[in-house]
Amino acid sequence: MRATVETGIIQTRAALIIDLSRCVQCDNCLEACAALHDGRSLLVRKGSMLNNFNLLPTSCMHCDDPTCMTKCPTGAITRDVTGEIYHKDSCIGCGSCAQNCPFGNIVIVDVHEDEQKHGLMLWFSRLFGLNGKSPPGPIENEKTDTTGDKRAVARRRKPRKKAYKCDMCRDHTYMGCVYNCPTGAAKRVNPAKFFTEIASAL
Amino acid sequence: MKKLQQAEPHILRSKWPLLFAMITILLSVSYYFFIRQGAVGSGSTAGIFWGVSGLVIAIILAGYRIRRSLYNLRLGSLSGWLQAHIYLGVLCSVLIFMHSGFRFTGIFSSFLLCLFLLVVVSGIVGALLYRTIPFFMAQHSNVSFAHEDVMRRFGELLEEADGLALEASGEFLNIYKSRIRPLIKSKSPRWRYLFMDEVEVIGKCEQYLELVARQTGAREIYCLHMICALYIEKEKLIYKWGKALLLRGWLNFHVPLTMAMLTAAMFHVISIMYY
Repeated sequence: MRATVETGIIQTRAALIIDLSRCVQCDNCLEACAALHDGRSLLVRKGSMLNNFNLLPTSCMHCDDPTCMTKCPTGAITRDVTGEIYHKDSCIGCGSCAQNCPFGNIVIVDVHEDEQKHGLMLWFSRLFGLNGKSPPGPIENEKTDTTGDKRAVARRRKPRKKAYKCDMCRDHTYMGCVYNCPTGAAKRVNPAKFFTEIASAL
Repeated sequence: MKKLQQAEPHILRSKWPLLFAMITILLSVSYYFFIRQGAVGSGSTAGIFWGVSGLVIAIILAGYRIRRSLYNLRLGSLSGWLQAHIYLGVLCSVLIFMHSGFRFTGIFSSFLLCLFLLVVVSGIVGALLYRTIPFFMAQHSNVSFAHEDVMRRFGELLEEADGLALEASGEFLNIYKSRIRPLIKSKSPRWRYLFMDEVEVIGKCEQYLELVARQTGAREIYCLHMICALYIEKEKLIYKWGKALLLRGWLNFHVPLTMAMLTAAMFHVISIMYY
């Protein structure tokens, strides 16, 4: 319990915890996250340790009082009715949220257009383990330029900065990392509830 | 948070052991019943039923690999699939052995049975590895390990050690270059570490470095201690990396073997139907 207070995760709503005594380093959590988020994994399997066996990876914990949300200058971060905190498309990539996240779980990345690899070939390459690196860029919802303005085209091709963080797979039925962990090592829990239960069981 | 409720760990999350035990008991009783009737060959009705059931289960087992690459398939969590894979695998082996009558008859059938045995044994080994290795990797360590970062970290450690050695005297630099640097530079996983505890690995490193320390002057002892810490960190990484490689390497054995076994099983079925 002390570790949860020291790391500050007691103030969060949904922390991802990886039980290292079960993790077989198969990378399925990362691959699932990348596959469900336009080819970019929002999870980094590194972070602080709660104890020898429990790792707190770099993944948004959806705080009770999210400083990233309150400090966002454009109001691009919002909380869903179910509690998930996510970035809207109006994010300008200023980096304020990344600076204010107490856990360093938000990254600002360059977003390119047309970097996606989709379809049957991707699935087959994944099936036979031939995918190598995940495709880098997420899909953008920019409007197609119908005027033929060359400057507009060039502007679109220029990388745009955007904040990325775990959105708890809000567009999907299940959380990719937890649902696709073969050994059940990845758990998304409410730290206050989870560790209180463990402490009372001990 | 609705999804959070779904993800809460359950103590009794798996009913597979109970289901598996019940089916195995039923199968054993049926096998005993057919033995008493005197007709348990692989060509008998019961034998064919067991064989076909075994083959169907084997194909379902192979579906685990497909499920693994379909990340949003609403057919249960992957951990549930793995549980099913393990228990159905054992059930499948029981059915196939009952189908064969626990005998090796015919060249191709014997070959197929041997292949099947290898798959079963590799599966059991894999289940044991999945149970034990992550525990050994995490047992004494309080730092996270990600295999994708290992090579980068090796480079960083060597750079740090080189930097420290350059600040020391020329005599120490020679000792470092001849006796310590090759050890820090080496990146190959040590197989002997697979059967050692992490504490033992650290002990071995310290023993070696104590020998080096005897040749080192008092002024350089601090520098040596710093380099020792880097060397031990690198050996800890090697210890974990070797284990992670073993887990990955095992899949390269189990999956192709299973595919070969399923192909041979198809030939077996076709030849039986032809003749």
